[in-house]
Amino acid sequence: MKQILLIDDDPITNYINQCTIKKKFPNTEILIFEKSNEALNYLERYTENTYLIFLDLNIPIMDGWELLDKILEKRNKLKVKINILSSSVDSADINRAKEYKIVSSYLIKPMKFKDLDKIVF
Amino acid sequence: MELSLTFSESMLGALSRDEQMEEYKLLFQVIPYPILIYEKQNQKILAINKEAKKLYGYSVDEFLELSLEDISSCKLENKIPQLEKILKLRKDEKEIAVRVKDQPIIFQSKNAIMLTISDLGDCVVKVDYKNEKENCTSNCSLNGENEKITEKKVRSKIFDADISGLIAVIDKKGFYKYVSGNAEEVLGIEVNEFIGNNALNFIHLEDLPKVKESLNLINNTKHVFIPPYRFRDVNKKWRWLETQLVNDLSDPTIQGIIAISNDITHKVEERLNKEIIKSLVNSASQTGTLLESLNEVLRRVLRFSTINIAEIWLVSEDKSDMDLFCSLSNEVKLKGDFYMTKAVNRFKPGVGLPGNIWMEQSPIIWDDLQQNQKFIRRSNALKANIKTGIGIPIFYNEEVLGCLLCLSKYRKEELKGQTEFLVDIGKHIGPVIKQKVVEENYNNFFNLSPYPHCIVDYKGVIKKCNQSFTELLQYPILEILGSNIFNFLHPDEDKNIITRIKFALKNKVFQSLRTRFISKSKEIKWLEWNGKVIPETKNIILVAKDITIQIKSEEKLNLAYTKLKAAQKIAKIGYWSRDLDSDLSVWSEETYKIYGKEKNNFIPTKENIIKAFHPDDRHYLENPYDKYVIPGQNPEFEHRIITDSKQMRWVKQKIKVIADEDNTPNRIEGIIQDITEKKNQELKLKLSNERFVLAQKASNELIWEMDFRNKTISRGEGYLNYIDYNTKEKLSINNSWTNKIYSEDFERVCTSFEEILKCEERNFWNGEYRILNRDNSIVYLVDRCYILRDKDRNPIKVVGSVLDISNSKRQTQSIRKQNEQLQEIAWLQSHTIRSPLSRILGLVYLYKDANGGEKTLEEILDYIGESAEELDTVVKKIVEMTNKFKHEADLIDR
Repeated sequence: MKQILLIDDDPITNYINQCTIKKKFPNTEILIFEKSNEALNYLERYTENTYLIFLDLNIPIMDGWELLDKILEKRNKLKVKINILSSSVDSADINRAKEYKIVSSYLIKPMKFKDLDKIVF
Repeated sequence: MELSLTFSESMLGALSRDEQMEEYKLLFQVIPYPILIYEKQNQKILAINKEAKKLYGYSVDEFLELSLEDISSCKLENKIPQLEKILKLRKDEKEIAVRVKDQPIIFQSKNAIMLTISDLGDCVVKVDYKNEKENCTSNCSLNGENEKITEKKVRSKIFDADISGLIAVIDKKGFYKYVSGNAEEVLGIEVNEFIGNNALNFIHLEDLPKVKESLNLINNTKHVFIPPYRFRDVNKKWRWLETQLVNDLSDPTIQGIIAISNDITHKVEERLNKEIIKSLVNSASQTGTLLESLNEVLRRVLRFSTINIAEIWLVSEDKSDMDLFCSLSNEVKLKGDFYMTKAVNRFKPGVGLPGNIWMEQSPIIWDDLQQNQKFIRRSNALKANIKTGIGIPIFYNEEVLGCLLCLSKYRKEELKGQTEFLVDIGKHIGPVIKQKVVEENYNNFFNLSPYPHCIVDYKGVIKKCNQSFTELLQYPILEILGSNIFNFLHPDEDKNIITRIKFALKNKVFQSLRTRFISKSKEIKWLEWNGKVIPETKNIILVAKDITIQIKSEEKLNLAYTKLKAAQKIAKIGYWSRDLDSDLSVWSEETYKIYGKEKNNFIPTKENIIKAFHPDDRHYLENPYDKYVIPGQNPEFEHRIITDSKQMRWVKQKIKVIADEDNTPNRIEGIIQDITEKKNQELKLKLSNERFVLAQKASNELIWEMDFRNKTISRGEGYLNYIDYNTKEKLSINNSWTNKIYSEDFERVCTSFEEILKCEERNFWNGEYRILNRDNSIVYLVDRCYILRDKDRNPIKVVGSVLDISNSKRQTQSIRKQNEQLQEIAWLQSHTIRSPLSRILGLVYLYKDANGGEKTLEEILDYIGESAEELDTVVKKIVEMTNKFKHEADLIDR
């Protein structure tokens, strides 16, 4: 089963993103997680699903980078396609994201509909 | 025997007139009969021979003052041949009977008479011309049995013959029938002993054949002459007689053979002695060394005499002693007995027999040697039973060369007859000894000379050479003798030299020349030759001097001089000299070059040299600088000169004073070196150093230097105002500087520095460390250095500089902090500001694109409002942070 996960600690952002994504993937279930560890637990629990993940970097407790590292450790078990969705325009963050092979793209908030053109799920 | 003075033409015909005259003179003297020649007109004696001199006792000069009458007891009548005359001897007024025979001749262009005289012996017969009466006195005894054969009868038969000595009559077989009364006087044998005895019994065995032959001949002929033979006298000694036989067998008054015999013992012995001496001298002349030659003489002395030991003593070179040169004996034991007792080999003049002979320069006979106090070797004589010593001086011209000493067991009386023989030997061997001494000296000189000598003939063939010559060429002597000298010349020898040698040989004129010879081992030998032509032997004596070493030295010297010149040229060093009392200096080529002068155009007088000096430096020459001139001191000074092309040069001069034996300076010499380049370099260096010092002062760096050879560290003074350290100290790992290094940095710094030092490829080191300053606060330093290494890559010197970076460090830290702050600001800008902003934008897009989604406009606006306030808060925070950062930056700037 395919599912789209939105991992961001800001509900407003999540709402915005959900509305935008729904337009692109109307038939795909969208799950929202405001905490990284909860998202990780879900992924670990339901490894049979294929996930399209939109991940914020600046999440308290476990930020996006840490989650990426955790997912990377388990990449053989998980079928994930991760898109960073961050408000940071810092080139350091962008370059760092490129180093993760599991990261498909780096999107700058706010998400726009046209950003989803290149995403295939 | 009739004396004939005519000689066959065959004998004399081949001789020239002068040669014939010499022959006549010789014969005149050697004829064993007295002959005198007197002028017919005044009877003045013109010439006599030896026998006449002997007979009469006058010397030649005395004779030539006399006339015939002076030596006649009666007046001679001219042209009366064969008269018996009574003539007297001047010395003892003794009258002797002689028979004379005269012959007219032309002598010294005068009419003269040659008188041949036969001595009738002691039998004096007076002739009374008036009475013609014979009166026989003295000891003509007549045997009673021979009264029939009287002297008178016999003499009448031999009227025509020369009579001297013994007259006898023998029969065919040789038995005596009559003997004249003087037999006892002549031979010591009484007449009675002869009569009835055979003459052959008295004759020497070796002479019997010829006597017998004569006896056989006389039977068939009238006259026969028996040549000299030996006849035994009463003492059993052999006397030499010659006999004329006259056949009067048919004469009834004689009935026998008349034998007229003359005792010629003396003459024969004299002749024999002469022959012996001649043979001895010849042999001695030809025998090798002087020693061999004199040994030969002694051998013959012993052989022909009754001498037992013969010695030859020679005067030493310095004429101070007479030394025993050689000795010989005919008995080995005798010689051993004589010489074993006491060896005396040297005498001073007047000491011993040799010394006395030397002093008296005449023969000496000493008898009773065993008791003779003057005979030093008495004990030797006693041991060997030597009784008599005869010493004969050996002369050469009037120089005593030495003496011949003859020692005999016989008494003096028994040796009487041999003295004359020995004296003759002494006379004749003088020249031989002299020649041998000269020869030996010459040979010694020739052979021992350290210079190569050789004798070549006119074609260059080597006849003789010495050891030095053979050693030089390294050929055995047999390979050299007989070879041509050209064979030993170096094959590359200059043709001119060969031509000169050939010219010298051909023209017998030798001039000194140098040649190269090649030895057997192919070594080249340089020789300088001198020669002298010896026309008598048609040879050339060549003496060489081996100048190989000299030539090599010359070549080395020339090479060294060439190198010196080259070195002087390279080093730009010139040489000059000047006599102190002269104005003119002597310059080398390089000196001219240094001064920039042409040798042909510049005379180095004092005045000219002063002008060549830079005006500011002329004081060196203008002042009486000779006062600086002290023997033993070598002052030097640098000054400038101006060349002809107006170029200024720096030169350095070093002077040496030469003094004479009294230590008075008389000459000055020196070297001059162009040091312009060096001076320019020094100037540059000086400027560079000055710049460096200034730069050092201007900079904040401390320069330090490690000298590994002198084992020192030296440092600048730059940091002394706040760090305590030594500007110069001994090289050590723990020194005034390193002891200040912060403890955490010490090991790191020292280790890394040592590693670089040890690493041969690395020449640079740098390091950062902390040091404690005077008030124990930390100073941050950067230290770096360059390492200078020798050819073995060992460090010689390290030059480094230390920079205090404490300020820089603080600034860096501050800047870092600012950067952190800036980063934080940037992050805030990047993250915190954008978050609400992106929310706002998202909401706006949501409303526009999705009509707000499921949210109402109001909800959307509320969300936007919350985000805007959040944004505002962030902006305020950033402003606050920026203000804080600016304040801190201002502090740092200050």
